[in-house]
Amino acid sequence: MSSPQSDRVPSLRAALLAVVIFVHGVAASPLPPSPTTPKAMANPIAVEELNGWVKVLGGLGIKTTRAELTDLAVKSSTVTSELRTAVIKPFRPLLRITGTGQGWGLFTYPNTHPHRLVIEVERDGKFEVVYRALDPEHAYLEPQLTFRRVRGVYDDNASKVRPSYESFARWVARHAFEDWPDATRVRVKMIRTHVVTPGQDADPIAETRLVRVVKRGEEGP
Amino acid sequence: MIGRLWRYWVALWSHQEPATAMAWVRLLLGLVLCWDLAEAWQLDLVSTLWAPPEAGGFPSNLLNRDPVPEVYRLFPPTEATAAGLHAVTFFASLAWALGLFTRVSGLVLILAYAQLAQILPLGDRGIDLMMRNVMFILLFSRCGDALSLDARRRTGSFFGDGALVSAWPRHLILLQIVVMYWMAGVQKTALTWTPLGGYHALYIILQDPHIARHSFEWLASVWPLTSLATATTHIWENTAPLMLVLMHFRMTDGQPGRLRAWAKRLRLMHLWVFVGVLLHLGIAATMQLGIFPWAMLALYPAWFHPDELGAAWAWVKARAGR
Repeated sequence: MSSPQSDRVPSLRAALLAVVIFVHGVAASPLPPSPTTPKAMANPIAVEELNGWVKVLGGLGIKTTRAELTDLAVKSSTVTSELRTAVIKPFRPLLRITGTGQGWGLFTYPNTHPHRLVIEVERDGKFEVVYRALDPEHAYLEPQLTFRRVRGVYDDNASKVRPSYESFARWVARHAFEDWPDATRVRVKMIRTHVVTPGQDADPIAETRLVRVVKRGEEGP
Repeated sequence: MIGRLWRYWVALWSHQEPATAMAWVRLLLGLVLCWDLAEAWQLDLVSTLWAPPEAGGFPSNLLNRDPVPEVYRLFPPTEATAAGLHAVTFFASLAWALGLFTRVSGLVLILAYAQLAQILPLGDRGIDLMMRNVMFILLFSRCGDALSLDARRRTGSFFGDGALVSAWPRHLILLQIVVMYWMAGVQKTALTWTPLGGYHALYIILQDPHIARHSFEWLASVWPLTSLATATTHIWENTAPLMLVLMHFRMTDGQPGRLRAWAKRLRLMHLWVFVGVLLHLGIAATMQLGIFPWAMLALYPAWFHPDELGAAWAWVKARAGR
């Protein structure tokens, strides 16, 4: 015969798991963690996506504009993110200390405007390429630069620049100055291109962005 | 009605089984993290990734954040602290993988791993979150009762004594995997993930020099292949919730039903898992996502009941003995 206490354990466990699943279910749901902003909706990937939806909806007889869709996205994300925040708030300290949570937007919007990291070293007054992503001829520091945790730093900075991009540029410079004692400056930059789908005319655009030049002596510790 | 549902819910989380499947997840996941941390050390990236900028690291405004990561509240912001945190995480992961003081090493591991994430959020990817979620669940399990040094100490065998333990942690891990895949699928709302955009998503992703493992410009000439792979990925992720139905069929095997019999005959569950293995191997071959595919595959033993794993092991032993 089972004791009342042992009978209570499965019920308590089931109740606790119901709470856990509810909280994590809300966290995992596609509700945005923070409201979308008009600025975020103006980036080239979002613009291309919105234009596509305007066309698709137009084909279904629903006339709309990119501005209207942007407005809808901003308003709806404000409401839904507030709901999500309210449910998760009491559990935030536990989620933070354990590093747990939910958020599974993996390749949600394939990047049609990807960046290519390029590193150049100045010697005798001329810059020469020492690293270019996916270029086996210029593969300086490649194992480090393709390590997932390092890639996360510079790749995520390409879409939204943060102070860690400066730290990244100085770190590259420190290595380069050590390996090329005659180098005077190191230049880190991103080349943004436009990927078109098969059958479309190629877009030759190659925009140079996020240029950082580090002079010898400025690379820090 | 509510009473019946509640009894079903309680029974659902009250199953028992040997600890083998959870132990495999623990062993593989711990080793994958060890590999990742060892690679960071081998590439001389430990201080770069986790020391403050004053010591040459990437993390910015480390000491001005609200809140400051606990490790830098307790210890000075130096390279030595970063190296110490890395070492603690690595050895806790190794001990947890080997099942040495499993609960304690698991607790230390998750707290230290979370600190790494707090210090450099940009270096902490979705897969790290997934790994910590699973580690957290396993903290409440008896995953150290098999394939562990703890089991050897207690029972004399590394494999343990096969005693039954609560199965709910494995079921919760499966729910977590299903949620991850499903939400990844649901959120893929870009037109290029759909027929409206020609299923060109994977083609576009593979043109990203920071993601692709090689140059894939040549894919333009064989784009139907990438479209097929895109469609397969999208359908596969969005059908993840069906795995819960198939698991219910398996847990209640023997009951009548045409759909149930059809799913069993076609081995739908195994088929879905097999497609998942292929997708992750495809990712490993074409993209530079580090441990992502391997950590996901490390979770796959959870798809199987320990009896199935036991049967597979017996089959392998019999084949090897011939």
